[in-house]
Amino acid sequence: MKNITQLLFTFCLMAASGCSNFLQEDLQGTFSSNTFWKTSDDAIVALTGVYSQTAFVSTRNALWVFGDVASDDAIKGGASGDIADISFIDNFSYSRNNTQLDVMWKHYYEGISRANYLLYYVPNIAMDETLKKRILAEAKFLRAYFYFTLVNVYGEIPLKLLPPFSIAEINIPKSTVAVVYDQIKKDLTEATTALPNSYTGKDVGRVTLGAAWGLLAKVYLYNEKWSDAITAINSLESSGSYSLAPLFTNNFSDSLKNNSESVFEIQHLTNQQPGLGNFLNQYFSPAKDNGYYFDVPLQNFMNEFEQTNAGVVDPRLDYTIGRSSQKWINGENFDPTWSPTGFLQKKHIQPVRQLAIIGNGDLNYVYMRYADILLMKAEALNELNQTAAAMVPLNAVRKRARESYLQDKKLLGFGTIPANLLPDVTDAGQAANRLAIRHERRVELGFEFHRYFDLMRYGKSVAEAALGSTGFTYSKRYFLIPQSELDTNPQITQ
Amino acid sequence: MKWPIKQLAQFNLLQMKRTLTFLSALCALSLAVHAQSTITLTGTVKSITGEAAIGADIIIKGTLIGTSADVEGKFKLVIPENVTTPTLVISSVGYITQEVLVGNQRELIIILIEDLKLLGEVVVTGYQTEERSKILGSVATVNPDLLKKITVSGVDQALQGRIPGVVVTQNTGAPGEGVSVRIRGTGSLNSSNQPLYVVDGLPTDNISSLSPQDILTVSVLKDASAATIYGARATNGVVLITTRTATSNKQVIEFNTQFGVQNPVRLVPMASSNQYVSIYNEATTTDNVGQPSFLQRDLITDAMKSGLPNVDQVKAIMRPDALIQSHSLSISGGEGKTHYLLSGSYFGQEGIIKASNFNRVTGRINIDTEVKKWLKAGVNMNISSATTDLIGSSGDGAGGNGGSVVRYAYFRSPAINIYDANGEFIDKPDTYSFFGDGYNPVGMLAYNNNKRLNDRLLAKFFIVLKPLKGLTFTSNFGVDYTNQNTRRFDRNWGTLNRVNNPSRLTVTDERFQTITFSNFANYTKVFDKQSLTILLGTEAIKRSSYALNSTDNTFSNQNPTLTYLNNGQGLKTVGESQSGSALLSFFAKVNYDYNEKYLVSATIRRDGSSRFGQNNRWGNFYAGSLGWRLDKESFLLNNKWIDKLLVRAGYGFVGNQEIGNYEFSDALSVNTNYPFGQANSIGYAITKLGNANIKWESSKQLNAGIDLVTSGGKLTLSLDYFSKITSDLLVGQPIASSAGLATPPTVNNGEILNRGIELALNYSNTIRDFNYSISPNVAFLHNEVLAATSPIPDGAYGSQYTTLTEKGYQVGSFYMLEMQGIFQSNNEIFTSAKPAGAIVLPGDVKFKDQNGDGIIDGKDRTHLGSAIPLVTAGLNIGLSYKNFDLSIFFQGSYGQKILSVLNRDIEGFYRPFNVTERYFTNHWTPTNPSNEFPRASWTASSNNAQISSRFLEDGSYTRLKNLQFGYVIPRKIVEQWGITSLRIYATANNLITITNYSGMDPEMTVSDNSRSAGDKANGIDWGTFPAARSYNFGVTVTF
Repeated sequence: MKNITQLLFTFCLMAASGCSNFLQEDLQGTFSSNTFWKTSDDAIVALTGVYSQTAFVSTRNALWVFGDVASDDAIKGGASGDIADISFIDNFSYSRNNTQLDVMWKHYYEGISRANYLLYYVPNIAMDETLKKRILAEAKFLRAYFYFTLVNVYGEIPLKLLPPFSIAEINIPKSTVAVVYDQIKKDLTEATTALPNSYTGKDVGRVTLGAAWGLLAKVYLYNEKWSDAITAINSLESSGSYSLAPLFTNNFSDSLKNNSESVFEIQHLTNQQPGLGNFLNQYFSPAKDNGYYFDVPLQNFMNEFEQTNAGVVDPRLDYTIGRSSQKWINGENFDPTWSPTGFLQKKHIQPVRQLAIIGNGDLNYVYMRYADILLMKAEALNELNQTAAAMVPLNAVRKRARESYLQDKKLLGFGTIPANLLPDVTDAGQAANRLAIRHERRVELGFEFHRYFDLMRYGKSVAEAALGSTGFTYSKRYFLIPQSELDTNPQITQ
Repeated sequence: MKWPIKQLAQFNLLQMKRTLTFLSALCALSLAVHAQSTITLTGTVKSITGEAAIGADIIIKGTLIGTSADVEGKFKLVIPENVTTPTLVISSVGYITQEVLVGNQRELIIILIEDLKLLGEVVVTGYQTEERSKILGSVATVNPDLLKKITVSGVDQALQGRIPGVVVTQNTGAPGEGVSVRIRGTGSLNSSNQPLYVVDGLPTDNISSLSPQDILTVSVLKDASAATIYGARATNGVVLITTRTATSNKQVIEFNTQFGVQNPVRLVPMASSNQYVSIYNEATTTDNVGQPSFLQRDLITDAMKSGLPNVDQVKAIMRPDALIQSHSLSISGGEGKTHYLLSGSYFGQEGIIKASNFNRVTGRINIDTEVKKWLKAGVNMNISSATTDLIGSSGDGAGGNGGSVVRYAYFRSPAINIYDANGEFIDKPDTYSFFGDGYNPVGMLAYNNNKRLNDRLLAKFFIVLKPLKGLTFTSNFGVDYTNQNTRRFDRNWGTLNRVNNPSRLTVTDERFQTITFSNFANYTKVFDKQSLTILLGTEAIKRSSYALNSTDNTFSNQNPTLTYLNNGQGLKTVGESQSGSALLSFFAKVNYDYNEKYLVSATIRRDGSSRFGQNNRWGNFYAGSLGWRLDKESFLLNNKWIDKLLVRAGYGFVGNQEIGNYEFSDALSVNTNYPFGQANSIGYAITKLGNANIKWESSKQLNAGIDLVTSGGKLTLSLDYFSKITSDLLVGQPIASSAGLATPPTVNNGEILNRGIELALNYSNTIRDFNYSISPNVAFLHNEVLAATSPIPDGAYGSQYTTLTEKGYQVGSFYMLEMQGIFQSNNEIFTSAKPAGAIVLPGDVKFKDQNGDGIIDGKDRTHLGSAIPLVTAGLNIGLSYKNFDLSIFFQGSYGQKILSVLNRDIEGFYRPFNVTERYFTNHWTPTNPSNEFPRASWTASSNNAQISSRFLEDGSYTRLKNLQFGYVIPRKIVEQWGITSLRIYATANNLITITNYSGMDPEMTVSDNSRSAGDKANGIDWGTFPAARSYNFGVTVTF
């Protein structure tokens, strides 16, 4: 009996004394904020995580739905009923439960959250100061990029600048559009102090100083701060040697990525683990190539392209879309039954050399290229009433387009520019110039996901005229914040 | 000698023993001088209730001479001359072994007294056993024989409908699939509302490896008074299971075999090809009005129509007469002071859907030996090996085992053949714009290759010391070890190889280990009129899991013999993970009673859990209860109708720690890569948020009950009232979507009330050879969220939440627009609220404008009931006449709602999907002004197919769960074959289901899609694996 009592006692003591160590279980094999954010390597890989949210690797980056489908350039396309939520966006009959509203919102805010973590922790890492400043500048640019897209899609949105540590940082009311823009400008301006003009080798694709100036220029343009826009564009031009690529299609080629025209380009790479390929080619390809043929061009977009009296059309038309009696990507004849409108867009599709490339493409998405900068410059100068000066950048873009005939051997009549094809625009006064510049933006940048946002900044009458046949009114120019946010964030009431 | 039953029942165990001794003495005294010659004895062995004690052994003490009682309990025995003062030893499983002096009796009637310890009158309650009559908490037991009637793989599944307040629902009908068990409602919000299982003293959260044939007792601890002894893990109740052991040295061989066929029931009737074409063209015509030509759809022409097949896609995925079988063999017995039970069993089930299977082999060794008078030691060991062929069951194809073939089969058009002319599967037909582009479900099953192997050892080594009278010290050392291998190959096939492109192999090897070390002492002391029991103990549990996973892709040869890692041509990945948790506990319990009349019990337990941050690790939990045996009071002592009347009440405070292992910490994941310079660069991102302040969830539980036994034991009644308030609920609460995509942290939020009444009745009687028993049970439950700092949305469908857990409503309350019929006229549309922007026409769904602002939007959503049943009930009827027996078991669940998102697919008309026959027949047309089914139009789906009460249905059901008819072959016949007893039986499961639910099975509450949301999103039918009706035949033989 005595022995047993002793035994019992020993057990109890053993158990009691061992308890503090016994209950210690540490997170295994996974980094947490306690073990991460210690070295420059941590800062670099966290920054890569922010970049990854810009890509079109998954179906969740719905920028094309809002930039193109919602505009007058395109309709949803695809099989009837396939992702019907996109057509509800297209005709403005969507509800707050629309999946596209939701994925877009979450995808871009995830990018912001990643940037916020980085901007919170990296300043405290002991590391090379130059590199640290560059990393912070890149993250600020990316945060501005995400916010710029969100504010243009949704209007008033919660402005989050801290990681989601607690309800205080998570449940934030909406800020006005102006306040969001102020933060975007602040981030971009700060970014300009630490970004390099260019990168080489394994850093190509990072945010350059030119990209920061370019996005800042765009922000000013959207805010109608014309002279600020010019200043930013001048800074861009002095920061690097940007030039138009010899051929328009170089911007949509998997072998000429990050060329001299590229200002900010989102990178993709096929056949990687995890996948880093571009999903858009599956969304936009015809069904015969295993695609879903979404975002299909309308006749109205076709009609925007200039044609000479002899019937020679702006070569950018057939660079941008597939249509009857023309060749498609792989050299085959385009069959108009591939699309409900008879047209498909080409800019995000590369030749199907192997099936695996479907949904896992190699093409980058060029968010901003020098042609866009030139057209912004033209617009700003024109609005500042420097109408003659505005013609210079405008005509540079047109010249490159017509000189396709000197660059592209596949064009019928290669070697000679057809008579009167895309002639230089002459100064015809501010109002007429404005129309010419807007026209040029539409044909030059068509299906690069900018059209809807351009229409909205052109104002009520232009926007309503363009989208009048849908359920659109200018008061609906900003899309509704998704119901999921309203259901989880009590600070947002409507 | 006949004893008045009433009087007998009043004796407690000790008194009975004394009485028996007295009886024997009496017999001895009455002995006359008897002659030395052979004596031929005849006799009958019965129980108190008059039932024949079939197979009872009658042995002459000190000899090997003996016999057994026949089916009527009769025996005949010749006592040889040389036996002086012969004494019979009568033993039978379940009864106390008796000795009877023969004396000059020649015809004996022996009444055996039930061994309460075995029949549940002594109940296993956690680290101890207690006499039923002294238990103050709410503890229910189940007769294990009832559990064996239903042909199922798991013990938990067999509990369905047996105990009031224990709600068991099958997750899906997939073979080997788990069940959801809720004891007294839904008290927690984290994904585990499951009770704690304790198998032979080892706590575990999964009992799928046990064979129902090995079970001896099942007790369910429902309230705090009973469950607090398991403190940290007891909030949701405890199910205690003990396995069979040998009780005597007599060798018993038992063989059970059961086999049957299963077939699907209640498949939803779908439209035929002609009906499909008709409604397709109707919608096309409707939708083309006013559309530009490039947006118009084409009609299905008569030319296309001719020769269309009419395929029943749902039937095509079913396996008719799928086999289900179970076989088990057990051998028990003993040598000297060592007892053993060895058993082996096999359970095999083919799914009613092709390609799904479950097979399990179980082996058990239970050995104990009395090493010394004061020391007993033994091993209980269960080894099992299970193989599951899994098929796609996730509604939307995301997560889980891939897209649900059931759902794909339902919406696949009947106009698409399964095979083409060459015998190849047709995937996407050329005419997909008319007939849809869904996958071929038969093809998916044919190429399905997803196998899970699960090997598990659940074993304990124990010693029991009895150093002095009344004191036992028990030490359990348990190991629960599982090795699991999952291999899934997603074959690349289909039109333009669109399905699973590229092909992909995923192999996961996992190891789970739980080491339990518990040490506890029980001390019982009986004073004059008082008795005292003290339990004191500690328990330490360490759990760990480890996983290795690898993937490969792009296999040039997809032959299953070659689809192994490294044969793929793509980039391979490997991953490794490790996770652990620890729980340390100290506990004590005191039971005291005065004269068995006034009873009191108190429990305290202190738990430390590694799952909480350092400052919140320890929790103290307690419970106390009081009881009063009214029938022992003088004023009731002489009444004629009450045999037992116990009034009891208890209150307690219990904790819950069932969350992930590291919820206090956030976590980063790799794989957010990006290709700088056309090279893959590694990226990291926060993918899970942490909460450093996470602390124990706890519940305050009140229970009051009455136990009544009347009519000479024929009628027993147990009535309980309970009220349970859970606070600081652990919940993975969705946070603002603008916070990013990282998994939200687990937080402590809210308070839930579960309040209810549970009633269990049993009436049994015998009229000559006819025995019958009727056992109804019913439970009423009120579930309400008392507080939530912020409402908790869940049940995500697409981008929207379908449930909202908030103050004043049930957990997981469905929250959506309320359908108010169908718009019948333009005038009605004009004067009613509509969604902003939507084009609404007559025939479209009308929603209720809850806030009266004239616009239908998110603010018009309202609470419309939940998946939690208000009433659950079970009814077991047992009849036996001579050698025939019949049992009928009904089970039902009432007041719960089901959201059929499958109906949204097959009635929502948002894609060219097949529709149900009822939608085809009843949908709105100008000439058929339905008020239930809107018009056929894709463009109107923006309004009509919104998640609303249109897809919400009453899920109440009554089910004839089991019907069994058995026959015991007369002993005279089987004896010739050397068999002790032989019973044959036929069983039907799920014979009849009475419900208004339009889907396949009202019981299906959990899908892969909502699994992680737990009870916040139950009752959503994504089109999962349906339950089967089965007919089985079985034989039980003992030697």
